[in-house]
Amino acid sequence: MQKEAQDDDALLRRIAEAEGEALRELYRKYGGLVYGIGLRITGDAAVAEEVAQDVFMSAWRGAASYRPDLGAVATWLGRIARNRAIDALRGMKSRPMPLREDWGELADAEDTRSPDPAEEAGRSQRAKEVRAAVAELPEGQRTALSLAFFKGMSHSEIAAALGLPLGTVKSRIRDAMRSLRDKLGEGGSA
Amino acid sequence: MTDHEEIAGLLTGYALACLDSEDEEAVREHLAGCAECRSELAALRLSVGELAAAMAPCPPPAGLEERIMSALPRIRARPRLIPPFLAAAAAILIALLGAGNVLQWQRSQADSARRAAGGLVTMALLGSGAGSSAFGTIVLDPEDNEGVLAVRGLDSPGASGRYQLWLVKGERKASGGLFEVDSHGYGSLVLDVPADFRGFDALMVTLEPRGGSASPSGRAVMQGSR
Repeated sequence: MQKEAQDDDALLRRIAEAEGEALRELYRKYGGLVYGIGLRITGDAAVAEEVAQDVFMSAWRGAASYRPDLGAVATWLGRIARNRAIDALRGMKSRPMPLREDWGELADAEDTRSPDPAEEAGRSQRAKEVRAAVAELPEGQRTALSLAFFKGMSHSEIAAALGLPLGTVKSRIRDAMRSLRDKLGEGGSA
Repeated sequence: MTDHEEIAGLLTGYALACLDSEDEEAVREHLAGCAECRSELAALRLSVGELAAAMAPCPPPAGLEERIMSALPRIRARPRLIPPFLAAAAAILIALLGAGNVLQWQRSQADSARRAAGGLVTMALLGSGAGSSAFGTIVLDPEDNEGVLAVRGLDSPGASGRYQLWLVKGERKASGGLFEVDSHGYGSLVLDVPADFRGFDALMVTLEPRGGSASPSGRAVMQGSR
């Protein structure tokens, strides 16, 4: 995992030096992850493709600002992809059904092979830990976090959808993230 | 409950981008002056990234790789791709800054942004705060696509810091890149303007961690506007 992180850091440095082939390597390693995030959040292949293009353009422009001490490259790209996908989802005229539980998408990861075996090998153990931590959350916390994470719904939208007081929604999401952080520790920076 | 405690309770929602707009604005304002909350936010964003990175990958459609690669020339952002006329402008600017003439020239101009011969646009930046002697100028091509910044009089950012240029358009800010200064306080930067920031309103420079920041985390040390 350490070598994986070093290789990824070196890749980002090459991208910061405007080496196009380094971006191609980054795409071949993480394109499946980025496209998958866009597809699962938006539910639309064409929009997911736009999201992926946007994410890799951001990586090209922002490689110099990547900080290894603030997370692995997969984590950095994953967060950018999730945020871009949520932006795209909010811009879509018809949003997917908002109340479906989406954490099963994490659980399915073992059944879906990445285009790059190295990507799968490097991420699978950590992904398992994340999935286990999510599975252990109380159902109420998991549902509220799911609506925020996968649907980009605001606190007040979630409160209305679930028929809960706003304060309850805020505390459930906060407690869920706190619990995940406690369980996952700092392992994501490796 | 103090403001700090109240905002700290909203940081998770901010990291997930799921706050209502009023709360979001309150958090943004608080973050500007609270290092503890900025540190907490960085940790929460890491958790958001971890959740995303645990999602199942999907084989991307054929052709996406080439579509991404073919877009690269249009977003070139690197010094070795700088057009010759901007390279020449940078060299001249740095030489002028060394002689201390640019500040006098800038102050003689009626407008802070001025269209020079050949269609190039210049903008002045001055140090913020009492006692700052920093100054600089930027030359942009006529379409606002790219430019060159040269500064003088900035203190060393230290081994762990870098100066970061920001483009300001309305309420939005985008990074224009990182730069260092030499022992004489000189620094320069080739700027690639993102498409949605062409026609930006103002520029500012902040001191940031070595790897740069996604948004300004420090006070502006230099500013300039059109």
